[in-house]
Amino acid sequence: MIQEFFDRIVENINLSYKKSNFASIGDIFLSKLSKFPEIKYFGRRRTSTRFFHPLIFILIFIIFLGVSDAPISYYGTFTLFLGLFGFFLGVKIKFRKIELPEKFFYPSLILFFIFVALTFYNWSIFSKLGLIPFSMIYLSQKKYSFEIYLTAFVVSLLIFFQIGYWAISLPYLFLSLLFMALSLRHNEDYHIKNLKSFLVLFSILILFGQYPSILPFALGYWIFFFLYYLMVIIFIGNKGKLHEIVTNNLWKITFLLIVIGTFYWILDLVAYGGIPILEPLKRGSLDPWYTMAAHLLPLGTILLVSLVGMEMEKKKARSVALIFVVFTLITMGILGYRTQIALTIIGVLIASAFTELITLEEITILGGAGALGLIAMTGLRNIILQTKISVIDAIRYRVGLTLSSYDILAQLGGLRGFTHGFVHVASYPSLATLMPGLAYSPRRYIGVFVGAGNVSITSTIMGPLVIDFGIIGVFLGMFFLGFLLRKSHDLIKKIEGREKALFIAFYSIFLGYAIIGIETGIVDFEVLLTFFVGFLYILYRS
Amino acid sequence: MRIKFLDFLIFLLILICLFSYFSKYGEYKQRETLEYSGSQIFKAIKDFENYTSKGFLYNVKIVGRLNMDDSKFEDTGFVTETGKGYFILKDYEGKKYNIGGVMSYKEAVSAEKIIMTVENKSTVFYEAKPIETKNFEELYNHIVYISEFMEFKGIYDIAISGEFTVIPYSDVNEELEKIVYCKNVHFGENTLKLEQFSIKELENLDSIIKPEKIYTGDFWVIVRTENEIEELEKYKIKETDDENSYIYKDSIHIRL
Repeated sequence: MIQEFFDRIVENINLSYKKSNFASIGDIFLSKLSKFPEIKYFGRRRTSTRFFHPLIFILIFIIFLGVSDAPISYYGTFTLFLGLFGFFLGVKIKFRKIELPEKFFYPSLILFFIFVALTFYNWSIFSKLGLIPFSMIYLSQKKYSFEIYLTAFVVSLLIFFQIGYWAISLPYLFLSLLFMALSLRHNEDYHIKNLKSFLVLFSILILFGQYPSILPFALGYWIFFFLYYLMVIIFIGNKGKLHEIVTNNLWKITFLLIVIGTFYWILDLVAYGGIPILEPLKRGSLDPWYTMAAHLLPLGTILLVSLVGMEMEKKKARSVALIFVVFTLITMGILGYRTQIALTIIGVLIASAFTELITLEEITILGGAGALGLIAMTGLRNIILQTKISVIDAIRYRVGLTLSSYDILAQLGGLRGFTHGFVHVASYPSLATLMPGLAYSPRRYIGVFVGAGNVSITSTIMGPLVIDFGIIGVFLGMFFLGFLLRKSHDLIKKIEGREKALFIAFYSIFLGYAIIGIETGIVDFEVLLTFFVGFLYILYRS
Repeated sequence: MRIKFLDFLIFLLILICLFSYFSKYGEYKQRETLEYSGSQIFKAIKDFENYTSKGFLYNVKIVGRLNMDDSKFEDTGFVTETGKGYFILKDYEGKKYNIGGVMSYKEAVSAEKIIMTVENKSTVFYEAKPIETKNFEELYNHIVYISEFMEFKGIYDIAISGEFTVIPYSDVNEELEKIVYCKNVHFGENTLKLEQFSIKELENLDSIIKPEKIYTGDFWVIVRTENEIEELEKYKIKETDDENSYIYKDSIHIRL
């Protein structure tokens, strides 16, 4: 009876979505795309995708080091190269599947419950020991482990948000999502049915609940808004396996990303009451949530470029891509965030190369123009702030400052780290308040450790890793990044059809953020979330 | 695998960048002197704070630009104060400059190169018991006398930190500001506050303050040695306070 009730709700949601104005606007948007004019190719040379192999990251990092105006300590340099070595291994090493005989399933489950009980006695030891049988559950049995990890995920979330024991709940949250992604493909129809019922039940609870007490994983209203559309309307309203649902609705997802991004960009400007690029010192007063949501626009644009490149006639696809890229560059430029502009340029460039939307000649011209644009923006800031150094020197000194900040963090972090996850957790401001001390943002925390006070300081992609988890963290973190890039790169070759566009977009975004992160670090909440969601989907599909 | 021209170019680029990075180790020495680029202002300040807390005597040379008119600036002096992204340099003439990083614009000077020279090898801290003297020269002699136990390592300089009651009071803070070899000196309401004040400047205090009576409280003495104290010598030095009645027991500690 309950199942019937859920099914009826699902049907109604689907029907109301199809009848909604929002859906018809989406359809109009998609139909208009096919009427875009054609743009001829300039030049004939096909862009080799070899340029965008994951190992390009190492090359760019070494160039970054070469640009610096000063070296860092020998120890700091050693940790940087250790991180790069970890990245290289992540790209090159291929894992074999580890499996345990099914007879280990019940002993693992029982052992896990024993450790859960013992956690009340000594949480520090037994919560960590419990991770071993928790992982063995997946390794020994895959048919029903999805439901076990879904339950563990919800319980961990409740512990995290209701009690605030982040040291216990975060490893379980992370692992349960990981194993959910891995086990979903085994017996998928059964899991999807359960997951849909769970989401409907949860959506009903939301109606009666009071934010944030019963809504623990709606981490902000905009994410809730986005997840609600994505999961309830698209996911629940469609039949089939998860990847089929995602693939069939890829255009809708792209439309949603662009619409939500644009909507919050407008809201951000209205709330700010001015043009942020013209007031760099005041830019800090932008609403962080609106800005974060506006950053969905570059993601949507990159996905759109991959999609049109895969599904539309190439010359028409070029005009669609061009218009949306220009739109994104202008909107993000007005906000004054160079990172998002760089992401759009790099991401679109990679996506265009994989979908053959661009020639080598065009890349050379656009690459040069993009670099000049970024230099111009930096120059504009320098003129407004009245610094008296050339743009090239400004870049050299900026790299020097970033590396020097990393050096200080590397000395502080030592082997196992100094803050043990504090900096990364602070990427979500409400979680930062769970920690002792003042609630800073990650880069401001780094500013405090470096000695700059409450100022945002960048410290390379390895800076947050080294202060949080030491050189072990640098090695493993970079290994993970290399692994993630290699996996998504492999999937582009392996998967055909519309879903390929999704993986091209994933890879373009990951590589784009990784390259930009060389300077800025990967500590923004939306970036971490993008990496994590992408990682889970890649695990599910690989 | 065939190596194409592009692969060769990439390989060459990597080599050039690595050479560019590692060759800068020659440009910024880290042995007799500690050298920093202006972009490494935070690291330089961390090191200043570290050496100051250990009581070392160091001078700092700045090569940079005056932000006021963008003219060249080059001067050497002592760091008297550190802040968030800046420090105060007092040169040998007693002039103070606010120094920032190479991209700074609020501070008086933006540093392009910072060269730190540590003048002594080790420091020995101890807490001295209060005494009463007629003038600073007498205080100087007392400090030299009670620090004799470090003669075997060669005394480069001795500094003191603490509060001293000096009679009579006179408003001479403007002149005191010009004293070079100290972190901080301030005279107010008969109390003279000294922070890492080199005793070679005590003679100047006599001419500036003209004291009739000085009552010291407990005060810290920092003996800066010419030669480095070895690990095993630390234990021998620490036993000295048993024999020296002017030093508080167990107050000796050594920084290498």
